Amino acid sequence: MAAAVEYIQKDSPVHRLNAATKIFWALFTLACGLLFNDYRYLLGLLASVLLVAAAGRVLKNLLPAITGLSVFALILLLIQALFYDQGQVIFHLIPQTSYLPVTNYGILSGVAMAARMLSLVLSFLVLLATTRIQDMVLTMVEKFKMPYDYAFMFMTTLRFIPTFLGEVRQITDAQKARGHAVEGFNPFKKIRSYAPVTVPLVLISLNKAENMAMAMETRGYGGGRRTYFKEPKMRGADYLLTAVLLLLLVLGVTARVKGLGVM
Amino acid sequence: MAILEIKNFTFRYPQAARPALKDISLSVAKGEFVGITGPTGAGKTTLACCLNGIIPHFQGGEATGRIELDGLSIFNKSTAQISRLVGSVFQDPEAQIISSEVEQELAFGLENLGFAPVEMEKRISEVLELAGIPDLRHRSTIGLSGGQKQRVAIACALAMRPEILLLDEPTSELDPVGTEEVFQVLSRLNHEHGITVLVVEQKTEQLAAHAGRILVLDDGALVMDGEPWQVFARQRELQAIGVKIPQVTKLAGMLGGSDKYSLPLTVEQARIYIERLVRS
Repeated sequence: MAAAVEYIQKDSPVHRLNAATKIFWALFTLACGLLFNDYRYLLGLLASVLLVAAAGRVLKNLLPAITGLSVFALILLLIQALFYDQGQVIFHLIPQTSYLPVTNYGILSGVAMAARMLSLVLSFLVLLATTRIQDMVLTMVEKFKMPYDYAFMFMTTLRFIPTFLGEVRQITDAQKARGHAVEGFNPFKKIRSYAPVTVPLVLISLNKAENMAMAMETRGYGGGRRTYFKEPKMRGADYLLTAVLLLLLVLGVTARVKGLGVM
Repeated sequence: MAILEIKNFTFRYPQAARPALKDISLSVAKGEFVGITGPTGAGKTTLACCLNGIIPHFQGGEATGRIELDGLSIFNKSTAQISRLVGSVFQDPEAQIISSEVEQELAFGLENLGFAPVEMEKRISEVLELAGIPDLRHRSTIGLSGGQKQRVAIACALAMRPEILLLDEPTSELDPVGTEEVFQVLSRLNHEHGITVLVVEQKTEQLAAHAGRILVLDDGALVMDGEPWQVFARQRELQAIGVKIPQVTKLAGMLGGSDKYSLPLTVEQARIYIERLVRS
């Protein structure tokens, strides 16, 4: 499941869209998911998210995540069906008694809940799978005026995760080779036994941070006004899609105010 | 024409009893390939840090004397200004690569200095070519080998079009293959493109083969300065300081070699030298 949240490099219409458009789309999906609670509307929303995933050619990559999420969706459905007692009783979970009635509304609201959860989570997974982190961060800097220093911090953190994982492996191996064992069932002992790994890791990290600061310094970091090599541009498709989504959002809110899409 | 001029330069770290660099004077001409070597703690890295502005801007300390780049003192320049004159490559290939993509990494320094995207594009393709890594352009920096990472770092330094390329033990964390890759690139940059190279290095085998001039530091002082054969002819002194001598040179020294023609610096030269010795 962890692999599904990563950026997947592909050439698709969704990949080519500006990060801002895709972020807006994910927020739009979030808004729609919260606006309505009719199962038909929410199933429609889920279908639209799956369509976007298919257009972005990441549906296959997201399949493990979808399978994992479906289990939660099923649990949601079950809980909802069990504890919702409005509407017509279809059957009782314990036959021949009047305990745990399952109603038609219960099942439908369960389906709605499951569809809502799936569309919200999946829309963000599609966003992450089709948008490079750098582009997303740059959009934050450009569109939402986040200071570059924060954006830089965030990107650098992502960049150094594999480096530090490699360090952890190396230190663990080195300590193991010298007879150190991380074992036992006592959680306190276990935490203490990690100290020989943690202490060198912290020291190495500090050292690396200083080296990196020197490298940044000699490459003019913080030397004045900054430019960007690849400024993500909004193109025709981006403006069009944003406009369509905005229109749909207005329509959705109006519909909801008029009482549509609510059970 | 001297591009770098150091005059009576002395430097002491804060709270240190003794100076790390003592009364260093030297001048480097444009287009030279200078190797700086010496035992651990001789002040090699300190000297490198003085040249790229890390000292005194990033680490404090007390300095006397002058360091002039292109005729101008570097002490009243900011590190960002110095970064356009001196391109730096550091020891740790991991810590000096900041971005997760090679192309973005090359753009980083140029973005900091505020270049226009068109100019960046031009320089990026140019330095990828110079460092011999055009195929790495769209790669992730995470999967690169140590030698590839250092070549990316060299390309990054070159992108700023510096007067001097300064490397501080660029191969200390590399295997022999990576080390050779890095020195091949440096040699080519120096020979074919006339780029001035200053490299701090403990691997004297590589320095002997590639550098045109070698400086030896010991305990903060500049003790030797000359062509490789001149430096490596002083074998007893070097051994006393603790500087490794290339194996073939050592062998020739034992056989009585002492001048430019009887002191081979590379295995190839040694082969010719020994052939001649056997024939005579």
